[in-house]
Amino acid sequence: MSDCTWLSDRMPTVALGQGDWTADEVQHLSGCPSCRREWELVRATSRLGDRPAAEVDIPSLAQAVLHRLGRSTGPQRKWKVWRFAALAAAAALVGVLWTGRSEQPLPGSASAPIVAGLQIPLPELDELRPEELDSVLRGMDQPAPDVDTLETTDPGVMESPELETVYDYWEG
Amino acid sequence: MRSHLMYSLALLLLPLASLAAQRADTAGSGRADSLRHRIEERFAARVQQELGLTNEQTTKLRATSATYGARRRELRDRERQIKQALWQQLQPGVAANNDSVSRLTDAMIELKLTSAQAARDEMKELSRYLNPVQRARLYVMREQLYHRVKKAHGHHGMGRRAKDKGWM
Repeated sequence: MSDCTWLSDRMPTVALGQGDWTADEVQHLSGCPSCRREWELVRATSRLGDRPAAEVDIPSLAQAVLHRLGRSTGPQRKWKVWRFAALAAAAALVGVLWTGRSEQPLPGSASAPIVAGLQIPLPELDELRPEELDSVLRGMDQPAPDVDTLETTDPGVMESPELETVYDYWEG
Repeated sequence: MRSHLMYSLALLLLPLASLAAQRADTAGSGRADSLRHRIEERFAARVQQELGLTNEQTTKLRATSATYGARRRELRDRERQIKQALWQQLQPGVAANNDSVSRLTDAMIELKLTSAQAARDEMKELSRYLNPVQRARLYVMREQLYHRVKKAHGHHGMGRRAKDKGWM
């Protein structure tokens, strides 16, 4: 096993904090541009969950991953990096979305809570048959009927004591 | 022989006809529920839009509507029961029981007063979070809808509910 392959296998362990580089490995890393690039990539993907999802620029990250993968050598290494990057990205996203790692609200949740639609029960419809209900529904698209809700034309009614009570009530 | 065959055939078809009628009832009920839901939904959306309700007002109006909607449903059910009982007493050719008629009439008047009081309570509650214009708009919109309901009920229900006509 070459030094590069060995280092590539060790990268996930070190990136996840489960081990440290040895002096020989550090020496190899400092002298091997390919391994250094791969290490940067692995380290970056392992830190994905440290930032809120909103701050992660997914398209740029994906482009950077693909770009760097294109420059790494050997299909075996590519596959390993891909696998790790995918797993790390998935774990980070899951972490951010489900474990509440990010304390900042996700986009869209910062404003006031969204209130579900208004519901107004209308028991007056209970006795209506489907054709009658259909007629009411169709009527709702037409101009409002001329209903004497706020005006009365009968002068006799205007003087009634009941109306006085209603006026008193409406005026608070 | 032929009549036996017809009789057997009728016996065989009777459950099927009953099943078909049941299915038609279920389908009609499902359609009615769906239409009711659509009317309520559309009405609520219009109210929300025309009154320009805030989120807080929407939440409160939803709660008030649920409370008083249930109350109105309860009162309407009671009213229907009283009407039916009264109708049975007042059928032509049947001697009415004066005590029953008197009790039922009083109950009906009492119910009307209770309904009016419920409407007043509801309006009072609405005034706590709707401004006077919003409350008046809601009132007018409701009246318009009730007018449509009555019109549809009267138009399609002619003859069917002639006995209820005097009480609507």
